[in-house]
Amino acid sequence: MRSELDALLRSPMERRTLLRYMGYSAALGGAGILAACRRAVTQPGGASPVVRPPIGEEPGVLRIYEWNGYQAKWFWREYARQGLEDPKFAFFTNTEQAIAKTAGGYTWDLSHPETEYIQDYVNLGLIQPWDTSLISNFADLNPVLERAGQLDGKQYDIVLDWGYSGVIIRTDHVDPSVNSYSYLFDDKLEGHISWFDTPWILLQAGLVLGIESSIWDMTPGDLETCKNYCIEKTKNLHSLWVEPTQMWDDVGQGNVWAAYAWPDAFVVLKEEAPVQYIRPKEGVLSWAEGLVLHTESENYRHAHEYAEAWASVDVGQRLVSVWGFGHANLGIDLSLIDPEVVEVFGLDDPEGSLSEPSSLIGRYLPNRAAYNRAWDEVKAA
Amino acid sequence: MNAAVSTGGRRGLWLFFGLLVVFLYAPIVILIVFSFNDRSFVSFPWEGFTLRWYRQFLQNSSLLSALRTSAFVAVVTAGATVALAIPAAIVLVRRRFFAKGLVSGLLLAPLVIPLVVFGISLLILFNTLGIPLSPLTIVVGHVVIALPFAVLTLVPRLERIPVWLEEASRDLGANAVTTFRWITLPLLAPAVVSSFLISFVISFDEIVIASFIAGDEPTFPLYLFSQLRLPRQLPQVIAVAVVVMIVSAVVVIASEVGRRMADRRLERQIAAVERVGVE
Amino acid sequence: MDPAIDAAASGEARRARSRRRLATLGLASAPVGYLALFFLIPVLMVAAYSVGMLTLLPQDDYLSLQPWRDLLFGSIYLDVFWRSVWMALVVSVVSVVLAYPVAYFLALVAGLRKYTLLLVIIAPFLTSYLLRVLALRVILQEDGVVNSFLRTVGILGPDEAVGWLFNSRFAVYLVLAYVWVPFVALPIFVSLESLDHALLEASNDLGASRWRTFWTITFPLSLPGVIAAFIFVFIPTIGEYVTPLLVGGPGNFMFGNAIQGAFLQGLDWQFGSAMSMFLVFAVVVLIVLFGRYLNVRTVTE
Repeated sequence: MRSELDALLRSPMERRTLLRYMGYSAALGGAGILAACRRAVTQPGGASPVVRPPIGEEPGVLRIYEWNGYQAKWFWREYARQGLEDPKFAFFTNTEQAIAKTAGGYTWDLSHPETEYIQDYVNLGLIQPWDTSLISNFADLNPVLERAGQLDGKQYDIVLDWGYSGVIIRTDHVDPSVNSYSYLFDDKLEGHISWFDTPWILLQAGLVLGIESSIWDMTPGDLETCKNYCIEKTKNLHSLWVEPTQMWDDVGQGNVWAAYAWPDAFVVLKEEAPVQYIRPKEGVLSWAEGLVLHTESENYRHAHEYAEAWASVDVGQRLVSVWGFGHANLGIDLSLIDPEVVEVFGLDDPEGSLSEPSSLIGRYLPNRAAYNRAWDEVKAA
Repeated sequence: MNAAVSTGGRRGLWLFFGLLVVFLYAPIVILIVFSFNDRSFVSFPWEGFTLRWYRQFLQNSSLLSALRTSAFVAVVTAGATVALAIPAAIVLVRRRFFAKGLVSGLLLAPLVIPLVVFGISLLILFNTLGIPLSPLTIVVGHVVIALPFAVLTLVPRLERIPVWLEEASRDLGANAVTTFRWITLPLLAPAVVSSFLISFVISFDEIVIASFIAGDEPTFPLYLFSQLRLPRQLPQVIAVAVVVMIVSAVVVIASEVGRRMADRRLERQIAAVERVGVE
Repeated sequence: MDPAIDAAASGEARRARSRRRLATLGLASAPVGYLALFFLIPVLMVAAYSVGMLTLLPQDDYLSLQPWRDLLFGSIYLDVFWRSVWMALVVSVVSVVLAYPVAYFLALVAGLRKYTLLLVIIAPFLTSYLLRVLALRVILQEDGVVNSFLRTVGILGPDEAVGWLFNSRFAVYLVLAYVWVPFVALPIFVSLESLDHALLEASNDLGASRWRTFWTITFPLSLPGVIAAFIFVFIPTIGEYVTPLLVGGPGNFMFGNAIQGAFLQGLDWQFGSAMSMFLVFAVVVLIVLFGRYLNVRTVTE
């Protein structure tokens, strides 16, 4: 091999060719890095007043970045009835992944994040406010939810579906009257508790411990306290669920007696096992998600039509009874819904149930990285 | 007597292999069972036999489109990978040059990079270069990770093709390209097919990289993983997986049979040439 | 001979060799160039991101070593890293130990049916990984197939269950071995298959028992394949996160999970990039140490 190298270097033609190739690759690499450094500066999302073309002149096919499941036609039947073209759907696994990919350059017209991520999107200049006057049924939507979708007085997120992140318990092993997130940290239930893999467990610990600072913006000291409390309580865990069927199975079979759960767990399990859904007295953490509009979307009016279709009463009716998720439209006919479900959701008083202090709708986490690292430590324990 | 194994050893090894096969296929059997279970969620108990999941998936346009996208990406990936792996294998086996260690290291390096890292960095690269995300961008990523496997499949086969066959062809006046086209390539064909298949399988089931650099059209594994939050379509997906598995098993077995026939032909051809040389 | 003709002849040969070298470079440039553009540059970009030379999110610090400081000094992440290395080690050893008899069986015992049987153990790969894990859950969970069977047979009481089959480190090892054994059997199979039977027979004729033949002849000759197989499992498994996430349960947080979490839950890209580059450097060190065995020719010999 040495002789090959010598021969190669000695021959002038080969040496030049080799050096040329090395030069190309160095230039390519250098150019790549320089280009990346320059282009990676984010443009601030400036919304200068734009004259919107009429709906007929927009490109027409909405690109929607969604949770898998929401592409079902019954969500946007009204939209299709108007003769508008079918939207195209792409799916993400969770909202953080959606943000990561969008920040990395992926574009869409509409997406479906929870309210706590609106600020992240706005910080990156990726979404623009809606014009609620273009949505005829906007007034029918729950004002508490819609306020959660606002930032600086502008409606960035049309909140359309919501749910609780409460606790589901087996009444044959657990006393429902305690009515607290402490179920998830109860030493008496050792080996029969299941948490969802989310930093929100830290928030729930904060509620149980009664920390001073806001759970959405904890001081480092409070975060440390919650983290240590959670680490201490991991010994009680049966499992850390990532997808709900696993948790439903475990609760249904009696392996888990208290689990972090959304109300759909109750809807699925209520006929199969003695369960109750708890909205804890400290306030139930709630998630509210809805449609956001990308800054660079060219389908402005189509997007508003889509939101309007989604916001209709029929969609809400079906969402609550079949899926076990809440809907923002206040006009839902409660008599058509299972009374147990009405009770679990507090649908008889939708505005009251979702207001504080009974309900704590998800809010932006300014220290998300710190929360995530604390949660990492809990999981690593 | 067999120098490698005793009768007792032989029985033991058959048993071991049999147990392994049972272990490997048990989950598959469970999936097949569930694909006929008349229950909305993928779990026990058994609630009756039904074909409705198979019917439903045939009507589920986004699921079918995800399957199509996966098939497209996998085919293009396999083709591009083989197209890059053949010159790489030739260079590694037939040529000597100073940087061979480096080149073989580079060709194997994608095996060891964590896919999350690679996926995200590819996303940033595409964004920087202004390339929009599409099935083709997925292909780009998949080719990188499939390349080591393709090269590793081609190299041993190429090594077994005697150099003197090619030299004889050159002596008879054929140039390099003709030699490759008519001598090397046909003999290499079974390994080419194998590396095509390996690249196809790797690409078809790949999720991590695809989750970052897929555009509006998800691949089948992506569609699957995004089910985790709202697992209502899971039974249909399992029906799909059963069908996919059966189809690909048939394809692979057919190719394997073909490969064996080609192998026997290669041996006969070499023996024939040797006889000619001797005479 | 005429020196002029000599010179002309050797000049001709030199030009032919130069053409060959150019052709070599040309052939190599396609795959190498492709990897340089779509593999090396992305990895370099991640490295640049980890030190703030490249930024994308508003919360990123420009030109900062803070992510590296957070990672290397007084953090849990190094412990998590070693835990992942240990997991990878166990999985690799178990996979190789289980795969060796399979490869031996296929290469030396199965006879004419060997390729078909090889296909039989590779075929499950054609089913989606996620679905196979779901099915394994059905088998291993407290009310799953194994436990139901144990209860029926009477080994367990009606309310008892073996809990550590799932949501446990055991489950992680089991699923990873399940995925890797067929793959790992391949290089060992290849190296055993090219073994010259004459050697084995000679050893036998000289009076050695089969075990002795195995340990002194077969095994050492298959060692390059074994080591290559070990490394092929070991290195990617250090960064494995999907299996620990789906079947691990509490206490199975691996380095790959930390990386994925930083990017996809914390929007903490700089820290995630630092962790990724740490993993890449660790892997590079391993490649350098075991590099000889990773050489393409050795693997296939």
